[in-house]
Amino acid sequence: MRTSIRLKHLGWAAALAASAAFAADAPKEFRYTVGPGATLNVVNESGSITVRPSGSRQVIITTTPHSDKVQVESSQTGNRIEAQTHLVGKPTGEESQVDYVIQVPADIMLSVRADAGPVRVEKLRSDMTLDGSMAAFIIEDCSNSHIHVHAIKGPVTISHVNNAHVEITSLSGDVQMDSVSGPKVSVNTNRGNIHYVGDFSGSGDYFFTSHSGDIDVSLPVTASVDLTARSVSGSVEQDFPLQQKPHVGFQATPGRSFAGTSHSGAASVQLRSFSGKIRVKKQ
Amino acid sequence: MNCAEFQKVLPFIIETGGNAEEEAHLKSCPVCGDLVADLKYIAEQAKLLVPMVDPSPKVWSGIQNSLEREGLVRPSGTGRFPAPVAVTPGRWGVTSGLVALAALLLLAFGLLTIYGRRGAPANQAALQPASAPATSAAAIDSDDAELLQELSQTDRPAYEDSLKNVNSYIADAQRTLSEHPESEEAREHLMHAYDQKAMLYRMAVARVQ
Repeated sequence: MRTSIRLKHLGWAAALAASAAFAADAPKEFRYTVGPGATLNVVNESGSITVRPSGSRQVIITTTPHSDKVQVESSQTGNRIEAQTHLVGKPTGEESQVDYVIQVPADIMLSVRADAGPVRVEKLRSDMTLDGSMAAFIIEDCSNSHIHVHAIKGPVTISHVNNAHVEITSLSGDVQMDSVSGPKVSVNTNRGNIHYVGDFSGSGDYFFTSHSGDIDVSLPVTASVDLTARSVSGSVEQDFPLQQKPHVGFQATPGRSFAGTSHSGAASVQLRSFSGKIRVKKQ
Repeated sequence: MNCAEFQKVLPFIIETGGNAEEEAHLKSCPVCGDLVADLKYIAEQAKLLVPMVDPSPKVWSGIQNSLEREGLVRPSGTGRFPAPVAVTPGRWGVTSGLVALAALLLLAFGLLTIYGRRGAPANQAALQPASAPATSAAAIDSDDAELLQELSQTDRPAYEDSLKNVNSYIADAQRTLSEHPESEEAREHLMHAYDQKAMLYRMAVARVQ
């Protein structure tokens, strides 16, 4: 008799635990319709965020909390949408996570603040501002965009982005760019390394600077660049064929700086480090 | 007197008007003349911002100390800032002070941008490797400590570590600039270091609000 009562209690406990787990992990969906020039602000403490085009004027936000100690609030005011995660009590790291999958019109103005990511943005043509302390940022296949990334520890990866204004400030995280081009691409890191692979197409201004992080640039011989590289106390190496410039705004020092052009020098590329190594190599 | 020499003593010229030699250069050089006019304009506009925030006296004192350390104002008992305003100590008082400090960092960034754009001669000598400093020891100052106290224990380590790195960058760039006042390269690095610090303050303030 006592055994059967115990089993019954265990059964209830198991059922309650299962229902709580189901409630915690149950996705929640928010749907809105917006016009041109709409904005979306997302604030999430922890968990992944993926943003991709909806192919329509709809914004669809699907959230999956990892526990019942986090709640998502979302609202629309005119053309502005807010989605924010709130902590209930004191969740642990895993319990505080909410995963977001967001579908948006490709031209929406996006603002994301995420402490721990990753944050992935795909195939947008819009202005975006992404802030995060530990979050990793991945931006892919975007064009005609203004991209602002402010990262403290997390890495930033940008690939196949063209005709974009890109401004990245990253302190410790590495910045990896693959086939990124635009009128202006600016990267400022502290200890983070900067890697660029591509041809600097689009006759833009490219400015990469770091304190102690290394800067690696790999470009094809077909690239048309006007390139300068300077380091205060780090080294500068290059095996890319450049023609000496007749007039340089500084006195080049072997091993610490160089300047030259390739083809017509369409894109301006300036590489600056304080103590990090700068390497320019051909693909 | 050339432009580099003039701009080395520029902060003091703005405060005192400068001596005869400095005034002569100012009259004869349109670049430095424009620079001084711009800086005076920014300083005047900055005064208009004062009533918008109500930070604690500690914040004004911190700003004064920071400016003195950067060499932007002279150490003085009669500062150019308004008398500290008494406020009730509280979370918002400190937060608004941090906002003011973040704004000031942006202002410093703007000033350095102007310096960088206009100040340096076109043909820069390369920095000598012998003078290149090792990376400075990391440290945080009192303003940073105040900011860190406002953050949660979870956030604090990442911000503290980052502030140390940024301060190290600022110290390296400042040392190089003091050895080579004409160096556009060092000035650019200082500008980027301040930009990083302003970003950290902006993000931290967003966390605590």
